[in-house]
Order: sequence, then structure tokens, then C-alpha cells
Amino acid sequence: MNEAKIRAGLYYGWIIVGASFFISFLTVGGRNGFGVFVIPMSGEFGWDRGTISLAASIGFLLNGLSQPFIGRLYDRIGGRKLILVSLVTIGISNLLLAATNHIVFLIIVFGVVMAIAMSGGSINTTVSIISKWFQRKRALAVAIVAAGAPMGGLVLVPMASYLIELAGWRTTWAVLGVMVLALSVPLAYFVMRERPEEMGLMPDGDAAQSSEDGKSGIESRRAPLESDRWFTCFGSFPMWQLSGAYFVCGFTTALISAHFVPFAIEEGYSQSMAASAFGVMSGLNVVGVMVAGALGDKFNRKNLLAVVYFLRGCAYVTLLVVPGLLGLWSFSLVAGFSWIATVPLTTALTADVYGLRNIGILGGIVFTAHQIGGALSIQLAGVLRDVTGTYDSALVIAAVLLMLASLVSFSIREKKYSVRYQEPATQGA
Amino acid sequence: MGFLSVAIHHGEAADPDLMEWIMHRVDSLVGLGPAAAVIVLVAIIVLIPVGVLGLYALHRRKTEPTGDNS
Repeated sequence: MNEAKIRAGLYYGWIIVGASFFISFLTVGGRNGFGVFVIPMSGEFGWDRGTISLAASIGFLLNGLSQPFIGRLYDRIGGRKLILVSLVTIGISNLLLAATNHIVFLIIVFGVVMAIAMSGGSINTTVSIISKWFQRKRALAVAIVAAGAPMGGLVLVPMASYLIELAGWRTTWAVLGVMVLALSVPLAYFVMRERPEEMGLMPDGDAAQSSEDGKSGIESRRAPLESDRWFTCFGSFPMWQLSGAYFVCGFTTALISAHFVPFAIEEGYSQSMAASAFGVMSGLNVVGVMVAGALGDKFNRKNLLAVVYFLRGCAYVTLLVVPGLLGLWSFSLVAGFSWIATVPLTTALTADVYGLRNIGILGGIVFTAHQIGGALSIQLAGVLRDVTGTYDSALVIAAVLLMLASLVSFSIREKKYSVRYQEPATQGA
Repeated sequence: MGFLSVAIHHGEAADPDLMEWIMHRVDSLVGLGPAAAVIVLVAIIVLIPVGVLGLYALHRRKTEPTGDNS
């Protein structure tokens, strides 16, 4: 056998993390930029906000609902092929959007094709691969990939906005498409590998070894609730606990993202102050997720998840009880820190408890709960605002739900169910 | 407003009004013209995959088969 002698100091898994980070950065950041296209496209075609929002609404729903199916596809065909096909589809969709001439075209390309392709290239898919490359450092690795999404928003949204100003919206869609095809597709093609065993490596870069049957020692440490049949997960508490808490995560993040502008106007904040607070909150997402990832590999993950939900709950309480700018800024700082800190902890816990065999579909199910929470909160907060005249009742519901999510997360029996706390049956195959 | 304004952390389209507010704020803070801003931001975007591919190439070079037969 012609054996590769590994002399590289850097574990290959970290290069996969880098590629996955960029895929999140470009795809999620680019999609976040849809908001800056709304005004110029509406202006050119004479669409009102309700009409153009239909494309985003359908896209939001399809993206959420397709996750379990795409996750199942991931479990069957593997992540590399899925990501490549998805990225090519996203890139071509972006190019096609440059030729938009009718609302139906926008709905089909942005709301249907691109939304489903986004599921294939989503964080859910990339972190499913990452989970195979890391076990001890899983939360940190997932956190880096998750941080790609807000960082992409911070870079791509202004880039798209400035480019629209310079060259128009059609050119900007085309540039985004070229970027996806020219930058992320080659990266995924060359760099992405399904699992460390393909390269004779072990998860986390532990002692590099390969065995004749291709199985490594780490695989023999089976997650306690791992099963050949994915649907058996519904018979155990952790799936309900993780999905329930993630539902609250979606509920509470979408509530603010959707209603921030009317809330800020209602509370009398200046446009500039509200924009600064939201911008700082978005920047803190990156700090929060990285800290959560680093701590998640050292401490009990469910306790950290409980702390994150508790902190976000406190942020909502602050928004309710502290008047004026102090309340707004306190909320931005605390909530911003917790905003995506849930992602590495929830994802890592799902993989720890249910194993990697069905990680695609299980991650997709948990993510769908998140999206359902988001969709519900947007509508509920709007209705409550109309009925009561303020957002207070919606904020109270969010704060209460977050405290409950904190308790639910704390009650997960991680030591019993997580692979991190199991003794390996054998080392080496 | 509906789902258009959902900027939740898994990537959906964000509120155009909020985007406009933030862009005004960024303009007033940074003060770069659109062309200069696009150049800087595109450079940041391109540097990431170039860096990752550089690491990949380095890793490939270091892990090339040595020709030992076992």
C-alpha cells in the first residue's frame, strides 16, 4: 500500500472548516442582501412591498420545510455532492435574477429554486460534515462555520448596496452569481471531504491512523441514542428538548428582526441610533458564537445553552423594564451576544446524543422547529401589536419562552445521553 | 411586512427599511465612496477562499505520497 506520510501540522479538518465558513459567508450573506434589492426592483417594476415580499415569504417557508428532506438526501448521498449541486444552483439562480422581468420569475427563482438550493448549501449541511471531522472540538468548529453567516451579512449586504448604487441591481445579482460560481464552487470541489477516515485521519486530528476496514476508534464510541432509523429520535426526550428550545430561538430572533423598525419608531428612537444598536448587535453575534463554541468544548454544553437562553431572556426583560436608550443598548449588547450562540451548542448536542448516522435529517428537523418558531412569532407579534397597540405583550411572551427554553435546556441529561461522556468500547478498529 | 423582514440567523432576506437605516449609518461612519467601498469589500471576499485554497495546497504538498511501499 502506498501510504501518505502526514507531516502537515494543520489538521485537515480546519481547512474544511475554512471552506464551510466561506460557503456560509457567501450564500447566507448574499441571501441576506435581498433587502437592498427590494427598493430598486420595486421602483423599476412598480411592485409594492407586499408583492415583492411574496418571493421572500415563499422562500422562507420552503427553506425551512425542505431542511429535513435535504437532510435525508445528505444522509444518503453525502455532503460534498449536495453542497456542490446546491452552490451551482445558487450561482445560476443569482445570474438568472439579473434577468428578472416579472414577479412570477422572481418568485420561482428566488422563492423556490434558490430557497431549496440554500437548504443544500446551508449551515445544517456543512456542520453535518464538520461534526464528522470533530468530536472534542466540535462546538468550536461549528461556531466558526456559523460565524460565517453574520460575517457574510456584514460584508455582502453593504457590498451589494454600494454596487447597486454604482452599477444597478441587475449587475449586482450577476456579480453575486459569479462570486458563488467562481469562488465557492472550486473551494467546495477541491477542499470538501466527507469524513477524516477518507484521508487516513481521525476526528480532531488525533493520532493519524487508518485501518483496513476504514473504521477508526472514534466510530466505535457510539452515541447512546444513535439508531439506524432516524424517526426513533422522536421517542426520546433530547430531540423534543433541543427542538423545543430551538423553536424559541427562532421565535425570539425573528420577532426582533421583523419588528425592529416599527418598534424603534414607536419607542421614539432616532433612525441613526436604532441602526447603530442593530449593527452592534449583529457584530456581537460573531463574538458570542465564537465564545459559545470555545466554551462548549470545555464545559457541559446543555448548561451553556441554558445560560445563552437565560441571557437572551434577560435582554428581553431589559427591553421591557428599562426605558429609553439604556434599555435599547442593554438589549443590543446582551441579545447580540446570545443571538447565534445557540447554533454550535444545539448542533453539537444533537450530534453528541444521536450520532452521525442520521445527522442530516435530525439537524434538519431541529432547524425546521426553529423556522416554525420564527414564522409564528412574526405573525403573532403583528397581531398582538394591532390588538393591544404596543409590542409589550409580544416581548413578554418572548421573555417567558426564553426562560422556559433555558430550563428545558438545563434539564437535558447530557451525561447520560451524550457520546462525550461515554467510555469508548475499543480504540482502533 | 411579513416574512420579508426576517433576518434570522440562518439567512433570510432582511428588512429593506432597516437595511437603508444601517447603510446611512455606515456611510456616515466610514465615509468611503461606493467605488472604494466595493473594492475593499470585494477584496475581503476574495481573500477568504484564496487563503483557504492556499492552506489546501500547502497541506497537499506536505502530505504527498513518499513512495514507501508497505
